[in-house]
Amino acid sequence: MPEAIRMRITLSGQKATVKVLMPHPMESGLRIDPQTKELVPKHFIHHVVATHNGRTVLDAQWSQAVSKNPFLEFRLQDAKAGDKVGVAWEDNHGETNSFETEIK
Amino acid sequence: MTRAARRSFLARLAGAICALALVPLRAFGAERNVEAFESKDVAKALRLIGAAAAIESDDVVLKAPDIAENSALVHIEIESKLPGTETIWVLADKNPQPLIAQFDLLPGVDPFVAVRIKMADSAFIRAVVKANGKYWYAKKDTKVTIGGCAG
Repeated sequence: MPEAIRMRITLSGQKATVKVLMPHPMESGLRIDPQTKELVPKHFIHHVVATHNGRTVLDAQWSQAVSKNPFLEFRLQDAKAGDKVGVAWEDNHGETNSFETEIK
Repeated sequence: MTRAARRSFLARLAGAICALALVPLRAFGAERNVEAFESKDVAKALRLIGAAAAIESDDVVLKAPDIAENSALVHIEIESKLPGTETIWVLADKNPQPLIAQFDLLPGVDPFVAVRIKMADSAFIRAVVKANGKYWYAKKDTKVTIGGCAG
């Protein structure tokens, strides 16, 4: 099981700023393992979807050059307390993770 | 609640839980532009995303550091002031594979994203925007002090 996605939402009027942290190694395929002296294979989140009350609002494709433990910020319109905000990712190994929370 | 009613409620609840679990996977709709992501030079990547004729615009606001102390953690923000912004791409010219991210924006989200990227070398970071079917971009020269897409 990958480590849980973390999300911080700030509501200001009808705008919600969503900051997400997705623990993941994001191996570029170019790093040499200091012990084995071999290249560590590519392992990265390649697809991220954000939802607002279950509806997709952001659909992202990523390469291995997004930083380790990816950070993502986006801004929702017409947001209010009680709305559900979700993020789901899939990596190039087919692993997935998702998280959903309510705006407070 | 009668037994039948309870059963139907449980069935609906189970259905709702299943649907909830499936939502993120079903939402994984957009086709990945594999060729563009694997492209080793920026001109080819731009051509493959359809942005070969992109025009530089002040309405694409790209915030990136002048000097990035850690090339594996470069914080960037992109905001489009162009009406009808549908997609934002991020590229770093000197990365082994310059195309880093594509963000498809759907109704209900601002034309803004912030993300952290890895840079192989000092280079132009490019933010490309597709708005009303046309392509625009902004670029920013960012120097890195410690090398390494390795991070």
